Amino acid sequence: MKYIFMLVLIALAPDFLAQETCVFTLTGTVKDEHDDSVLPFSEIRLLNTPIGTVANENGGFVIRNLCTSQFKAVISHIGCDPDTISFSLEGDTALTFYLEHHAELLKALTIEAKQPHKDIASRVELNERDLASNSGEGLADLLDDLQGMQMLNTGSNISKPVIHGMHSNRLVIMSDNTKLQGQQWGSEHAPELDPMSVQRLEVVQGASSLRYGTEAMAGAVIAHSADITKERKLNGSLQTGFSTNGQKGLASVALQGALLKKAPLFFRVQGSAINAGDLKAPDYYLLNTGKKEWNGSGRLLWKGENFGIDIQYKLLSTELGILSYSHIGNLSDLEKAINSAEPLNPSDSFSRTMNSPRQAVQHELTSARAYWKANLRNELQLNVSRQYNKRQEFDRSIFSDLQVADLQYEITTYQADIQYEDRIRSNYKYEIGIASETQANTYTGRFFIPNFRNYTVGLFTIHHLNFGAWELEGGVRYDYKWQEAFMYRQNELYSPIRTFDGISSNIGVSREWKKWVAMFNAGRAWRSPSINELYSEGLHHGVAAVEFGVETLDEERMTSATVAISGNAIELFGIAMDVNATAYAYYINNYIYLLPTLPSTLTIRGAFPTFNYTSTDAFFRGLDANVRIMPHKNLDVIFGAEIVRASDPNSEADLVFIPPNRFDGRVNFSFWKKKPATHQIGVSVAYTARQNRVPDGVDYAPSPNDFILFGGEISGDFIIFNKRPHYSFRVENALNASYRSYLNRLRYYADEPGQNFILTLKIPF
Amino acid sequence: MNIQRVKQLSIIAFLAIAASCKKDDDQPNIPQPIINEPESITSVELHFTAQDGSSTFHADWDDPDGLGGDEPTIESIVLDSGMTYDVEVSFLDRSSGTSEDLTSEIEEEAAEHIVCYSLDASTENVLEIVSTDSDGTYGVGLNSEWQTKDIGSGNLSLTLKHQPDGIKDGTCDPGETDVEVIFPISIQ
Repeated sequence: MKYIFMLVLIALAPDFLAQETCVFTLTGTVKDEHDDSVLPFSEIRLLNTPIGTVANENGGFVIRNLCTSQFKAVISHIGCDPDTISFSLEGDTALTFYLEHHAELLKALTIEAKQPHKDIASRVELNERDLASNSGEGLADLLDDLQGMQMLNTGSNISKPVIHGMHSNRLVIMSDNTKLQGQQWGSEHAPELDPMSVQRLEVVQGASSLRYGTEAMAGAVIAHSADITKERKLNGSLQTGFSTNGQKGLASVALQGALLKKAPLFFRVQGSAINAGDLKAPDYYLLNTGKKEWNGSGRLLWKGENFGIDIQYKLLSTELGILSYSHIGNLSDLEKAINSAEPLNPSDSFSRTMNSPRQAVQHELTSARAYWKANLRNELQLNVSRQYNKRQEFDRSIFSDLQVADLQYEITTYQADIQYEDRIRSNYKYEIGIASETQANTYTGRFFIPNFRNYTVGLFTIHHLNFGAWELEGGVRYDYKWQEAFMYRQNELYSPIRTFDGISSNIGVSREWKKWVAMFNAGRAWRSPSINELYSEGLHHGVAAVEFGVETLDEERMTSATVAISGNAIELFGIAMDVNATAYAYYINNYIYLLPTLPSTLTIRGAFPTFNYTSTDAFFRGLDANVRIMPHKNLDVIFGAEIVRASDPNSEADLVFIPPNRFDGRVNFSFWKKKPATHQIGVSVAYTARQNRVPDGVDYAPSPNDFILFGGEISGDFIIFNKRPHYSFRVENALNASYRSYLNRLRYYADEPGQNFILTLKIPF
Repeated sequence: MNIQRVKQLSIIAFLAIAASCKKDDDQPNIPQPIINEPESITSVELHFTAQDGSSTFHADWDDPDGLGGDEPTIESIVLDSGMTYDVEVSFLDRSSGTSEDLTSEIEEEAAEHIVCYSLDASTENVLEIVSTDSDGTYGVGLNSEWQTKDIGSGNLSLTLKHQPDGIKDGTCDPGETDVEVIFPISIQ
């Protein structure tokens, strides 16, 4: 049915009306609204016409042979939000367009309704400023503030983003055009991405997520690199931060500019370091929760008018301590830990020493992207990349601490894809693409997952069409995956081959009514079982469980429907407000999860509970909403709510580890609002309910109680020498509340960190 | 500073890190043999010597292939009533096909380890076990004296605890469990 609809979409694309004699010329310049600097190489498109151009390096552009008419121009510049500007043309005209380079301060949902051909899906993002204020936080911690997102923790410094209750293999993380690939199947494996190398984080769902492959079931998180073409002369920035809890220090330096005079060749080098010691819960230190991280990245970009090439290299190297109390010997130790209100041997002093258990991870990403724009309508893109990921896990050993990893994985991933986008008519564009990937994985030490090699190929097409206030979007994707695993069974080499394939599709429609936009999206998605779900065999330290993969598992297939409504700058009782609400339902066939299985596994450390991967059906549904009220031009009040339910429709049992309900509120007051500099002070309160919907016999301990956290922030920027340094001073868990989070896998052992004061500075130069 | 020089240095830095591409030297199609955790204990042996010299024997708990694979083999402890035995426990690593005795390493770190014995309800009144060795402050339990008082049968559980950083207090409560095995026991 969907495919028929797609054909109709293509066939309906209307022809242009015959045009009158057109002789006028529009000349213009695109500038930054804040400092009046020119924005080179911006794209200018005239809405409802096939006309467009790209500004030169001085921000100037010329469009000839225009007719007398009312125009709407869409101006976009890499790294900032496109803007739509209306004007009428009755002769040769010169205009200056100003682009807002710093988007709103809020981490609120922004449905990008103002652009044509926008993706029909709820889309949320964090901009440069949000990232600067929160620098030093992990990717998941940053995303946690966005509507519909929560995080899954293993202790305090390993966290993964969760969208609508789904994570790990049901979520894709993109570093620009490269799909981040490591050992993301593990809930205690954090994404290997340095947030300080990123300018903007975006969450994409709906048809556009078809670009990112089969694992983008819940959506894709896209980490966009900084726009380095904005300024030609050598410039850079220094970011530093300090947190009292854990005495965490961080620094990041970036240097960028144009390499050659008169040529659009730009470079950037960036490096960052983080050093943190043991975190502190209100009543005790969390022994062995330090972190040391070094990251570096480099980039070369040729950004010509028709042709460009972008080469990037990123290296992340991190060492993480894992809460000592969580490394338990056996089930009786776990029971003892659960029955004790405090860790059995709480630490009362701060330390930067990191002992086992710990993890050391290195991730290297090398990518090249080339594009070719034959004319302004279309673009051909080629991406190739290589990633190498080495993960070492050091268990606490019986005797003196050996410096040999008990477990090591090395996974190398190559990706290559080609995409072609064509804006055939002013109101219709399509994209086609082919994506390929191959991976090789090896392990050393204790067995948990086998060696494997896989090949994946996918084909997709996405179409966008708009009729006035209506936008339509649809896409289809086919993927095929071949995988061979290598392991020993009874001392014989065993190398099973599995193949997986499936179709993903998505269709969306949106309608705009003045300040309101309504959106509906429906889709099918799938993913292949991950390597651990098929073949894992081993003890999961920290959760005292033996996990067994089941090699006959089949693909997970999901049907989804999402409805969203948003109102921008609407007025209610004379008060301006933004309203966003999203409701969603996901039905998954063959949903793979861990089922407790008898008998327990007898080992020399006693009997361990045993879990087998198994599949059932799952039904996820939920609601996210937020309202931003602006009673005064300097005052914002924001309320948010996130509710998700997940159950097995066959047994009617609830699924385990689903985010509990969360409600939050925030008040921000802006002061010294002397454009472009602004300062603001805010307080926030977040209430997380107790998760009462839990299945029987899966978890060891009851859900932790509900909790309320308070926070505060003062942040802003100055203008000094035409630059805008940014500062922020925050407090997290301001009342030093003792609490445990249901989504933290180490909640059996210790409380979450207590009060934390954080100061960050970003100084451009 | 010479801007051109800065740019050159940046490019050199970029090329230098980009050139340090790391590589996995292992072949996916040749997995390495499964190695258990380094120095993992796979076997526990209890060596009994009757104080009257009438008998010596041992009872073993053995799981050389570790987690999964074959089930452990567990021997029963059979004692005569009214006797006193000197018992020595050894911990072995048999994962690599050979037998490596790890007991001496525990002796070296005696202040961080303790071996505890606990009896179930049906045997706790017919057998008494006391440690006969010491780390200077507390017993270790690698050597012990077992006194049988009456006939009965049940289960004996042996636990090896790792109690580093001065948390050892002579009881089995603190620390992390390295070994926890159960032997069937009968006193005739």
